[in-house]
Amino acid sequence: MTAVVGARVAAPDQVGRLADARVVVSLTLVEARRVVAHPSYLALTGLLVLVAGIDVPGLTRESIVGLLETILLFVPLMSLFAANLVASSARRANAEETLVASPLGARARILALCLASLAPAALSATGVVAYWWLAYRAGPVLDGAVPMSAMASAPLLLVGATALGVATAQWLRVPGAALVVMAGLVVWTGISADHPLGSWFSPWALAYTEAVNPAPAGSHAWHAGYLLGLSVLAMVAALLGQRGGRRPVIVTGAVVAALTALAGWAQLP
Amino acid sequence: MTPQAAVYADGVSKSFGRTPAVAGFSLTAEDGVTGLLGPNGAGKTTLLRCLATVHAPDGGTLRLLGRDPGIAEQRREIRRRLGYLPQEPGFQRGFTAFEFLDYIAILKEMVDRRSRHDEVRRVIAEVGLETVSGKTIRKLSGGMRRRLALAQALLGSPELLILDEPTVGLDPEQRLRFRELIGRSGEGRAIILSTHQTEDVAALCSQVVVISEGRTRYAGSPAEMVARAAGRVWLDTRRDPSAAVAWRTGDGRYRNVGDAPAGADLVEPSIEDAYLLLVGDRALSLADAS
Repeated sequence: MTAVVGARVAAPDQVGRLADARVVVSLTLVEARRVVAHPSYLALTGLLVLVAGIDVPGLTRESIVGLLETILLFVPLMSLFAANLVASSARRANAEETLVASPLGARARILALCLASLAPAALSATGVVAYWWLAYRAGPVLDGAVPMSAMASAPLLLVGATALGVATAQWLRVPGAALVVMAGLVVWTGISADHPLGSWFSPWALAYTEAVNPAPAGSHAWHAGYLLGLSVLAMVAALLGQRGGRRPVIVTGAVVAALTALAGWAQLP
Repeated sequence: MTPQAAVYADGVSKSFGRTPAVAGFSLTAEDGVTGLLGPNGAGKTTLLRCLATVHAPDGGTLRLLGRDPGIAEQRREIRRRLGYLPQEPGFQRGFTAFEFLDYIAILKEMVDRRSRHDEVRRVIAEVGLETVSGKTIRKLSGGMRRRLALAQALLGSPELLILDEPTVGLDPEQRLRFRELIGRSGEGRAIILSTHQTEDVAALCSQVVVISEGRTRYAGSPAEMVARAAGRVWLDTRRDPSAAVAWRTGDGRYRNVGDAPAGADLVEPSIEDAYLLLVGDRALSLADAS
């Protein structure tokens, strides 16, 4: 006689995973608040907007375009910097010993930090929606000033940059590493911008108006997929920073890398 | 004694490269406070890190709360029931005292927000930080930070509490409050604390373990430890050459500890005298340092 077991009753390991997921979600909320409210993020972003606003006086099409381009370029970099500081804060404060003795593993803590990158992305998505509304209301003044696809790439840029900040904290455990990575991204963008095809591989391919980046005719949708792939790869890199149990992360990374390469190829004109 | 004890260590060793930090340490600890005494560099912190599952021992048998910390799932079960105060606890910048404890509570798998906040408030009250719970940690005094560090260890009422020099840097009044708190916390749970303060051990501990150079020199009750020093402490107007350790007291006489000569003016030994006798030459460097 076989005992009938309720199909909806979760097995003990499933219960454990569910509990883990709830802990990671709770921690993600805390980490998201830490990243978004990080003083460097708030101060530098505020300063950036202020400087950009003062630099081009008047609410003209040019000033708005200049401000949006600056925001699209630098806010993700600020996000990378803030995420790096948050992710490395325990190490810098000599607090890791306390964290290690807690039941939640290091990889789960990093996963929470990676997922926290959705917070700045959500904020920027709100900003994008606000811009669309403004562009719609303003009519010809803003119509086509900044391509919608460029604006829509902002949340993905923020996810990727924030996750890259976390990955940098895991792999480059030296002061100033985040600044080097930020500089590397800017150099990459600058170099690739001169190449008609290479520019598509830059994360900021769509973040410029046509004056800067003359009308790439590739697929914006595939480019979004490419950015998403890069963002997930940054998360995979962050998760690989911890020893032990790397195999599923590596397998995931390999699959995502292949899909990202596919999207990178498919986006080209 | 069985491996089901709160702490069961048999021949535990831990080395860093070729340098042994802990060599063949053995201990069985049940409910109550166990004090770990030893000079600087004796291996206390390394040992406590092993007990807190921060380090994995290289050799020997270690069981915590009846579980094997070498097995990932059991290690996690241990950590669910463990509170750990490191020797130099760090705090991430920007957190208030409440936020820090809330963060640690999440790491201790307290998911429900309301009950977690209740627990945070409970430990804040237990360490007497109610009035400063909203302040950023960097604005707290050293003593307050120490109490905050203890509060995080107390979250979730752990069955096993590992405290590495909990009273260091505290003024006498704070130390008394700390003793009172640890004394209360020791009811119904096992506490292992390391300290240089022999008075703390005498006041708090039901069991004391003296280690030096990674090895156990003594394990037993504080009273038995003091009894071992009976007849080996005497006062004299001079530093007696036969004494292992001697120091000038407030009244101008020397308190000599060692093998007393015939006719010496013997006095009641303290736990500090007993400790100095146990650690021998290592005590001299400790006495010099202090």
